[in-house]
Amino acid sequence: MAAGDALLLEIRDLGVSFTTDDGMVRAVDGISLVARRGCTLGIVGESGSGKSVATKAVMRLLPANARLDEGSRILLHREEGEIDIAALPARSRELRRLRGGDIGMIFQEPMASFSPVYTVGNQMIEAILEHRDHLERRLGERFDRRSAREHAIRMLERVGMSNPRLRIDQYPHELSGGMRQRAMIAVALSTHPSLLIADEPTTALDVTIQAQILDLMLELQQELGMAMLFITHDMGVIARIAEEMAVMYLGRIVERGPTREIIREPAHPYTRGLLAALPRLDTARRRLTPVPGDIPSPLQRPAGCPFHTRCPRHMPGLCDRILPQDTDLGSGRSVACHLFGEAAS
Amino acid sequence: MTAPPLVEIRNLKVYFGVRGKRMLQKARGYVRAVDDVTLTVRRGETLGLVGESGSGKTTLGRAVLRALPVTAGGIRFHLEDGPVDVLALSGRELRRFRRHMQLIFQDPYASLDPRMTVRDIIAEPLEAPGHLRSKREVDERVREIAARCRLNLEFLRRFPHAFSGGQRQRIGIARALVADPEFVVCDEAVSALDVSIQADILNLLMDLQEELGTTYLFITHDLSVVAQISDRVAVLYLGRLMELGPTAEIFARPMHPYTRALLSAIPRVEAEHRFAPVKLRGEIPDPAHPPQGCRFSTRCPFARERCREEVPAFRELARDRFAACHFAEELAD
Repeated sequence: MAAGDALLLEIRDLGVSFTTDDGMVRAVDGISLVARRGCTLGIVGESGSGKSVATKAVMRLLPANARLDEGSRILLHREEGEIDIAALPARSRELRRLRGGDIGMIFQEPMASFSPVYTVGNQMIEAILEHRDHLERRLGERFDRRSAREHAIRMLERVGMSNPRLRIDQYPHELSGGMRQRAMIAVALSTHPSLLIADEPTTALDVTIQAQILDLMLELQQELGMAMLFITHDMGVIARIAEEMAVMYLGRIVERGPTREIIREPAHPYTRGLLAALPRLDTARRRLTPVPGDIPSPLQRPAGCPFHTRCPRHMPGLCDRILPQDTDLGSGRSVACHLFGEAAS
Repeated sequence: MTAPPLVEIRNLKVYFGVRGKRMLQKARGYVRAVDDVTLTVRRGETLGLVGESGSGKTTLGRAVLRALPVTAGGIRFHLEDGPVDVLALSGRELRRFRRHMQLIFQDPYASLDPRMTVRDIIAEPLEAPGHLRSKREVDERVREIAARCRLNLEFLRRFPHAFSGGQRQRIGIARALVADPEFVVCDEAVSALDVSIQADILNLLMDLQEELGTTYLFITHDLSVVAQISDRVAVLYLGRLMELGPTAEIFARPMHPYTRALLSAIPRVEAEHRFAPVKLRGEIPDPAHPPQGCRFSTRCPFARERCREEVPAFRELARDRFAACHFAEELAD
């Protein structure tokens, strides 16, 4: 079995609801997915798709008004045994050790994950020391303050920071946008996580810097053999970084499979619509094909298939009443659409 | 045949003072946000203006609209009844002139007053001097432009908070076009929208241009959007123009090494496309301390001694194609 086949994260029937002043919002509506060691799963979706909420749930970083469904399972298959993250008590030590230990995280806005009052080095050293048991298992080395500092410098160097011995004693605000993003990656990877969750990590960056950061992430993933969950709204970025992808719409996964296959031949009408709406570089002044209508408010989820209000192939009486289940299309692909389900035949 | 010019920008400079650490201290230096830019926007065209952080693209757009002070240079509008030196206008003259130009913002929500109805928001530019219309004429004009922007006329009595991003941007567009301006600056007008909605707004902008003959200066960081909507593209880097030319030609055969790097860095979905970004050294320099010589020389893979010493001239290298690179001919192919 290739290393890439080793199951690391298994999400089953994940559901997240929010209680708001305007009513109940169903942000994630029963999704299941897997991430494998050494592989990247891209999750693509637009506003309200629930992609960020789903991944925050994996780290149990949801706000107080959010509730996980009873039956949600978030299984992390670690070398030392399987653990269900959904079942851990909210403030448990176990959960704190997982975050930033086995599970690394990077976000769109690096300032959100740094404290402005400590130097980059201080924050890295604290993280390394907090997760020293985990690191001892991974690297066979037990860090003290001094060796943790050396490890932090090595990581800063590895992510392409010039002059890491100087940078380590700087404050986050002293770094440029691209450098901060690199520093955040260094922090996330300094504990050698087996899973890296990246939520729109390059969205705020200029395109030439984005290209550098994507290259770096691919290199580091190969080197460390970690699994990556990469959340983005950008199909081009998904095509670049993820072997497999899942397309989300209003809290559901509507299509999943190998990225190349889906982009070449999308099955779900929403995926087709998304790809057709993309402006392309080689077609100046062509009319685009938008997806008709607006994304519905999460407070008014459509009945049946969530996409039926905008779907050009919507079948009245079916799509607006019955939620389509996943249909296996073979070669690792599946789609949740009545056009492909038994109900259609 | 090229269209006649509408807006001529000549050697435009917009510098911002950088203050010292203490308050009231005199300016210590300048950020040359826009530095010696010469550019003509042709009547009826969409000129795409692209650049990364610190390129000065937004500053250039605002300067042309007289929304911030210009340090040096000239801006001339060629209206039907003759040319106007826009920088020479002031007071009432300037206010009257503003009806010829408008701005569409990135975030339609931030630019809409939440206490005004959609009708009043759209009608606001008609209240500027030089219009003097009756309420009935205003109502009629608002309904006409709202219909053109494919807004539901029922919406006119509502308030903007009830609308989705796409609808809000339609309101913003209707407002910009209600007074029939010749020239509209679109500043990241579709950047905040989801892809499935963005396509609709881009189509609308193209349709309106065909119907009304409006000229757009379309500012964005998104190169695929620019490829979609522009007739010509201008590439800015640290306040200077690097390249200018017809969109299809620039995307097929960029002449400036920066344009080449920029285009190669876009992740694309096309299966036949191999992603091989030009490796650029380092980061975009601080605009307060731009490099000597060519602004791009610190990151350019082809930079030589001359590039670090001498500012390259912005030259016409082929018909209608301009670039500012000492070695553009040599680097071609």
